[in-house]
Amino acid sequence: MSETVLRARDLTRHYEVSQGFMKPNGVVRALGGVSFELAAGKTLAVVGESGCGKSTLARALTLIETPTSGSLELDGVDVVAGAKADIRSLRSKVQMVFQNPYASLNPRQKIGVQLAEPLLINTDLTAAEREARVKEMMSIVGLRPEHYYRYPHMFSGGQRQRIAIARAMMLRPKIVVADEPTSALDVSIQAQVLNLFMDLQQELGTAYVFISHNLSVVEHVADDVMVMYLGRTVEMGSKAQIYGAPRHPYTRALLSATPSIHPEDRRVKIKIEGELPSPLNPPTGCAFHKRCPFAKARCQEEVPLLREVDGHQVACHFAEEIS
Amino acid sequence: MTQANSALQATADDVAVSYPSPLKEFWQGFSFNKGAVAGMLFMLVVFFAAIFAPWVAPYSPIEQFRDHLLTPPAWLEGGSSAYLLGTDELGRDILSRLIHGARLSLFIGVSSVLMSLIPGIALGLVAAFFPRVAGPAIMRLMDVMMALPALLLAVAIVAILGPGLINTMIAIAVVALPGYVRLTRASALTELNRDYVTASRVAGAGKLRLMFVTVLPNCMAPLIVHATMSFSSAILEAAALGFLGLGVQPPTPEWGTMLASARDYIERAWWVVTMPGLTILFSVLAINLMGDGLRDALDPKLKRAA
Repeated sequence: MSETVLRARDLTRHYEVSQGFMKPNGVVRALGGVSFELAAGKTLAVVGESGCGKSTLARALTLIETPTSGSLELDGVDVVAGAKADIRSLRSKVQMVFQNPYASLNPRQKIGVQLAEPLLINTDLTAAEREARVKEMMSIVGLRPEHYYRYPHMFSGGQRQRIAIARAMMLRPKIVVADEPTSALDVSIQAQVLNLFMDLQQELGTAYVFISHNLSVVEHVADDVMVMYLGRTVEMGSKAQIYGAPRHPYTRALLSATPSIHPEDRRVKIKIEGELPSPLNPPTGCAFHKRCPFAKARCQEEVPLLREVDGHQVACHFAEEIS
Repeated sequence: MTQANSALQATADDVAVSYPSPLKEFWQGFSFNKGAVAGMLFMLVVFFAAIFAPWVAPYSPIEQFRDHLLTPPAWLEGGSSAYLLGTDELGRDILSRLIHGARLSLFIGVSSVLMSLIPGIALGLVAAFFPRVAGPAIMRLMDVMMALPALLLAVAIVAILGPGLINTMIAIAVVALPGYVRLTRASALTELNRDYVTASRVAGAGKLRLMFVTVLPNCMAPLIVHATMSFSSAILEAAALGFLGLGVQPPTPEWGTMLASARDYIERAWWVVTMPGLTILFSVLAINLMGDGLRDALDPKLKRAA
């Protein structure tokens, strides 16, 4: 088994929000204790509906925000406790690809300059060497050399996303966090971009944290899948386990909601009622109990912990009965 | 044969990947805007006249022709071709005074704009990048400055520093500062939340690089427009201070002062007040057109695909 490049333990991120004059500040638990490990060259997919903490996780992993508590080890170095110099050196090991390719490129800089920026900041290469590296990376992601001198607005969404991927790969990072990299693209372009991700992974051995709410995309790229609900992991396991034998009622509902053009793939739709509860005031016990079709009295009182069921991790009191 | 082929290949590659130098590219974008080019030509003429004023101007700006008080411009009845734009209440040639006045007026306009633009951008960026302590402190100070009437504040500053040309420009620059700070901070704050700034940060860019390389170029459009607009108000404020005896003193020729001192004759001799007024108007128009062209030429989105 290959080395672990990323290890998160009980990662939490809380935000204080003002609730009005003369009221105490509320605390939003955007991330309420997430643990996982990621091996080199593997892909961990994080899925969940909007507002479940996926993007907060991405920001914590890319060191844009420091976690409130818990530990985050990148390549064996603890980032939360680490010194500033250590964190700087880790910058080149984690890179990010964003959801919106129209906002993630600087409109005033030529593509070549933007792609060279990570090299300019983090390496001592000369201008000519940087240009050679940029052109090499551009050809890897399928851009023509003359694109070097163009501005972002001259490209289509798919091309922009490939430029963004090229920028993330410039430093040969060990980990790339992709925050819904395909959700702003046409379906035909999505496949192109996903295949580029997978080709690069094979070539460079990069590990991906792939955040998405599109389960068919996740099925295509992931090795492991982590399902999140309201800042917590509800189920985590290999792709085959999650897709083949989902144990948590929330995972089952998500999977049943995935559209398919093949009638034989269509499952019985499990409808979940209501909205995602406010993270300011989460329900007692299991966060999902108010919407869960299987909820019992125990779910209201006791927070279910992640435990091993059938070889993968599930946070449900009744995981055994549900399957 | 193969050599010729590879040479051909090389030139073909060169055509594909060689692009005009930044300066040439800028000029292509700028010259596409005809109004901007016209404005630049006008300003070049004015600058030329200002630099070579003693040789270009027909008379000395302070020479008084006592026999020709308030002579109308040459094309009017009673006008004389000796005084193309007429003379003022002391018999001084208006054209000569305008040409000599261009030196001071352009100097005041350009330097007071620069003196408020550069610190304004720096303070605005600091306010946007340090939202906890420095930001609110700077912005409250700017609010205090904005709360005071502009001219009153300028008078107070000149009164503290003492009258004189340089102090006048400092006063005008300080009065204009809050506008630049607010504008820079507002556009920098919107840009700061964009993904490309985060991407730069993830790549390891430091604060200074984020400020001046990543964010600032994307905030320039409103700043350029504001700077060209405040050029005119700088000239007029300098005139107002001169009128109060705190700025440029007569008989030094200066457009704003000429405008202010001629208002008594507006009914008898309209040209005395109109000529400096039109000169200021055209200069401001030319600078605004140039500013528009500059803004468009610096915006890659408005360039045609290379």
